Amino acid sequence: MHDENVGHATTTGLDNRKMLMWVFLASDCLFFGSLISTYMVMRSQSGVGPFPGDIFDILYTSVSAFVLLMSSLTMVLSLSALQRGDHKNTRIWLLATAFLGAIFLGGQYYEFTVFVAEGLTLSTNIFGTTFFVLTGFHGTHVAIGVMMLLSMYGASVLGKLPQSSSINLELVGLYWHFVDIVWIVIFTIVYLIPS
Amino acid sequence: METQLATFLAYSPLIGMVIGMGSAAAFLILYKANQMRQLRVESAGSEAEDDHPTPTLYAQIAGILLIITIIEVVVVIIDIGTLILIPVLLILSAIKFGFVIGYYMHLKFDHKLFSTMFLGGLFLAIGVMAALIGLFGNFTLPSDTVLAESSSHEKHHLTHVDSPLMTVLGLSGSDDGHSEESASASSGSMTITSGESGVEFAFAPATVEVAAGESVQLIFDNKGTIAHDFAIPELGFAIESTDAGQSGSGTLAVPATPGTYDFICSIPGHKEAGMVGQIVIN
Ligand SMILES: [Cu+2]
Repeated sequence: MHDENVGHATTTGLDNRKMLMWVFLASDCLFFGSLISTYMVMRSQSGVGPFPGDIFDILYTSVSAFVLLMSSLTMVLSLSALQRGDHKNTRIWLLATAFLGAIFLGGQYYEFTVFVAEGLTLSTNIFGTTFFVLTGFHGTHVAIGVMMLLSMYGASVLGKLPQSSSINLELVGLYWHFVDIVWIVIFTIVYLIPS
Repeated sequence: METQLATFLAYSPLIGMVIGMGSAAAFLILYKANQMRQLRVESAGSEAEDDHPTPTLYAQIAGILLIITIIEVVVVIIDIGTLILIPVLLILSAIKFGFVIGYYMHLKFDHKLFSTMFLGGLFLAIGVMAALIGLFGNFTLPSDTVLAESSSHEKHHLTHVDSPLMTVLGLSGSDDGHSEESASASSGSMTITSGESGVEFAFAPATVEVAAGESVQLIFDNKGTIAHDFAIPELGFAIESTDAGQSGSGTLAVPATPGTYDFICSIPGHKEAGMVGQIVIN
């Protein structure tokens, strides 16, 4: 493994991995953009219920949105600690971030269970289809993020996350914050704006 | 199709305004933040390192994000009216978006090329969303509209079905697309619509009655935004795929024995989405 801090000389003078992450996130915008617009177009087109107004619980979802926002805070605190060479706090905040992400996933799982119990499944109507595909796709992003966070934690415990390779944690952080901003948009468009 | 286009055009200033304001807010925050940073860097000489956010600043931002989220939930609960609510919500979430990408994701402090890359993709995505919603969105104006009325009059003349059924459909409320009333064939011809009142995946009426042994002309009128068809699989009857805004017809030889059969749209997924009704033979 070469010294991560040096990096390669690039035509832009910027780290290629970071550029890759930003371009990936930009492309993911298009993915989510398409799913969100499909949801917006289709959600009020169902012939049979349940309809969005019947099953959404805004206060419950606000709490999950808040949990995910706070995980962004713990994420930057972890990166900031690593950049200062404070490994103990890096790990604490990393675990906190993964924990908050897991709480969000648990909350989403519970929400899905409640919706299914109320009769909304992937195939009940077009609202269910677009809703579960959109939020499930986001949930998958969160789950992948949690795995990345835990592997970062493992690397840190094994001493393989030195201060000099903080770029690795920074990339995971970018991905994690992106998942958070996507939820900001989904929370507003899916849950708050009435159909 | 023309009706939808006209309705979309009627709504497009609002949609454009909302999308414009949302993205302008996000862009302004980034731009302003960059400007302030440059000023500070100039005044502080080469000590740009000091400019790096501290954990305190991160926590303050988390506080701001929390407050904005609370405001969003409060304006939804006290219900300030859809026309104000939507722009307010979009602007508030754009501000949150801006704070996270600007500070937590360091776009404010990083090389401008990262911002260009990401915002490029973001604006492309916003454009794709606007196009998708413009093409496939089914907009119903809040109050009853001249547009909808004139279109249903056109349909009267097109299909020459001046039955009470059409009057009922024409007068049904803009948010009630799930009517349960049934219709019976009196004149030997019957119209079943899809896409009524902006509900794409449903038939109206959902139940029809026909007399056993008769021959009935069934007219399928697709008022939706995509192609549908009409089929009674058990009777081997079908009106093939009908484009949005078109209608098709076929003559059904009703069996002599009473019974109940499903009629569906046979395009994959449409039945499951709600395009199923019942034909009752008396
Ligand atoms: Cu169909």
